[in-house]
Amino acid sequence: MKKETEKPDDCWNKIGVWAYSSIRCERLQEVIHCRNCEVFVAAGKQIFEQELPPGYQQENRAILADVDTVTDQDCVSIIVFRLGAEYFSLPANVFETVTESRPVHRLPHVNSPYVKGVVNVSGKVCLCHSLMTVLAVDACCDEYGEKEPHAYKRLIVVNLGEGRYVFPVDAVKGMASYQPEQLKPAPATIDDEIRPLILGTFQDKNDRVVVLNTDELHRMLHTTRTIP
Amino acid sequence: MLFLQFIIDKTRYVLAAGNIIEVVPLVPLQIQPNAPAYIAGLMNYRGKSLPVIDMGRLFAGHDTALRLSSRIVVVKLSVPSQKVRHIGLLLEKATEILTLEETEFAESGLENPQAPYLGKIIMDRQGMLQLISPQNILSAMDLELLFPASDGGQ
Repeated sequence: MKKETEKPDDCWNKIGVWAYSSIRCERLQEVIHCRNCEVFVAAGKQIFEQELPPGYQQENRAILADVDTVTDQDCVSIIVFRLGAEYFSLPANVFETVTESRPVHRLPHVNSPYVKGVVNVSGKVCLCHSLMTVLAVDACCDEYGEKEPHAYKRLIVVNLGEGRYVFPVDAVKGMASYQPEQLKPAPATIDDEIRPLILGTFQDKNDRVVVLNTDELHRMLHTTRTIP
Repeated sequence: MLFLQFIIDKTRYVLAAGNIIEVVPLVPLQIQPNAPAYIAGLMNYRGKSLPVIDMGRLFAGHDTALRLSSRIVVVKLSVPSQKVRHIGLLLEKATEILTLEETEFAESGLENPQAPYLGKIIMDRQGMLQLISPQNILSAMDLELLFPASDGGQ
């Protein structure tokens, strides 16, 4: 990269936030730290005002001419999460939020096997369902603790059409996308009861991800939502 | 709503993010001889030829400076009797995304038939921002030039 022709006054290096500095910046009263200060922000933007480095345009041309990098319109964006030892996913557009795990308060006398209880999600009381029970997934094994060092239990909050559902999951892997033709049918060994909930599976790098059918999931949870 | 801000000759303009397909860095353009001055050229955008309009030329009469902050913004236009078409706008100082309320935009109070692309304005402490409508950037005649009817859309 070419050096900037006019170097901005780097007050953040000269005065800074150091308490022992003989001159103390008045702006710090308001902004606390240089990184919040508009002088620093404006200087950062100056980086974009420099001349193009040699080969910059040619490099971009090669990238933009590449048809393969186009994200197809037909792609479906999903968020992948783990239950037990298996990866499942729901479309990204049904997600409201993903938050950290918190206690679920059990509701007495609830006869639905899927309802775990109620949980506080940003001040609102929400019903919490167990996707593990719905999908008959076995609770976890320890090997994933080593495989995913940054995996934490999360609550996913999704809106399936008309109802808000909260599901505890073992980890949220992140976003992925697939094309409808990539989907393979669910394995034959799956129970007939669970089969309609599964749209198909696809291979996301090393893991096989099960894509869930939101309509069927909503129908199943809605019909069993029997609170006396 | 999100808006992309760009600055031409110290005047700030915004484009609604909903119109934008992609913001791409500068690439060498295929110059079109005898085309109107504001046509910067053609670029290869994902294997398709995309006409690029130099907004610096159109708005201020000078070429957009070749700097890192200048970008090509691919926007969609609906062309009469054709499908939605794409066009590139070469913008200067397109480095910031702003969150603005659509209701805060006010009529500019000036209707300039020469510049139908200039839209409503919003005022803040640094001055004014004017909304640019990419659909109106090209007059009907230009549309005929850029997207001939015989082409039949993408």
